[in-house]
Amino acid sequence: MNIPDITTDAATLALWVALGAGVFAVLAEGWHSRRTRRVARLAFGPLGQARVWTRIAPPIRVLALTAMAWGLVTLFFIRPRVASYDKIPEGGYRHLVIAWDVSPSMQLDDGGFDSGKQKKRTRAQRGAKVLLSLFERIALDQVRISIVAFFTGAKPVVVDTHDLNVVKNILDDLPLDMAFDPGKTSLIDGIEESVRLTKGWEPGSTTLLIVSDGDTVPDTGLPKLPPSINKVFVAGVGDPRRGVFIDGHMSRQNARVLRQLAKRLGGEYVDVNDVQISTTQLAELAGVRNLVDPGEKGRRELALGCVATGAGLLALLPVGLAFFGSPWQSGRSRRTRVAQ
Amino acid sequence: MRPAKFEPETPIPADNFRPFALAGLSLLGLQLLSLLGIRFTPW
Repeated sequence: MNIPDITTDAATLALWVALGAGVFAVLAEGWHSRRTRRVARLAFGPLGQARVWTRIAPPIRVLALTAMAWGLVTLFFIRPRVASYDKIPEGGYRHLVIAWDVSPSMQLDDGGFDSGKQKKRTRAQRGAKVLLSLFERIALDQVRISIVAFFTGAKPVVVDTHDLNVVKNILDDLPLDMAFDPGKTSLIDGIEESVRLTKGWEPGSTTLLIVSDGDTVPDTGLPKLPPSINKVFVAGVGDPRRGVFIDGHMSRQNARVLRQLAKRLGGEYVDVNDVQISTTQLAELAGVRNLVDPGEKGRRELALGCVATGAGLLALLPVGLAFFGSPWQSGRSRRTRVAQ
Repeated sequence: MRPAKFEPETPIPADNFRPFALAGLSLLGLQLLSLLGIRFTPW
């Protein structure tokens, strides 16, 4: 069965059905109140009137029915959403390879201030924050993410995953430096490993993102990028002005080296210590359309809310009216029966 | 280090509102019709 998206037609239909249900409910309530007025003294006692609050019962009932009608028709037309991990988008997947610096200098706390935790962020935490913000803005269901960790050498940690939680776990202070021998950071190794990984992939399908605080890069020996990589970002973390002493030298974000590296790889350098990677720079990743239309999301939640609220009101209203609607309880009470 | 392969084992949640919406709409229709007469007096 081919179920359409929630299109303008379906949205209009939902509005018309809701309007119809509302008008019908108003007419029915009007008719019923006319009938009740005729038997008011029988129903409500000598005064012939229910409690004042019951006057809002008919409008509530009409609103609840209208909301439910809109919500249910909207939900009816929202196509079933299933995980489509094996559904390959047109033109194949996009790949995002993150060359992630895991050297101990990434644990220095000059990555800005975390106002939520009221303490300084480490460079690695800042890098992770920038990457997580980036993941929110790209069409993740069409992108496969690989992470290459580098320190004195380089190792692929995860290859082509669609599972964001795996990526989050790696970025969330996983002590990957333990997997390497101690020594000086080798950024070139990270790039070489990324190049090796991406060699066989579809041409123009990969974005390489290098996250590092910078290190001296030799003038020669930079690997040639394969045709699969069509965009390179070099994201610098750490304070570029104020250095922190570590392992016998002053460590700070080496913006000059990172900018030069980006230029040599034909990419862009972004100092992410202060700013995020902008969406316009992510054109290749952000431009692909989501397989699940994000427009459905807010509508789905609103429809579920309408149905739940409407159903709740419709269920509780009769109970409230029966017990608290009128001081006059028609019929014989149990106490009277017992007395007789 | 050897690369490890993972297969998802947890159930994947999926939305399918259609049958429930259909049932709900039918009940809503009945409720609307009952508003015309089948009511608990005098409400």
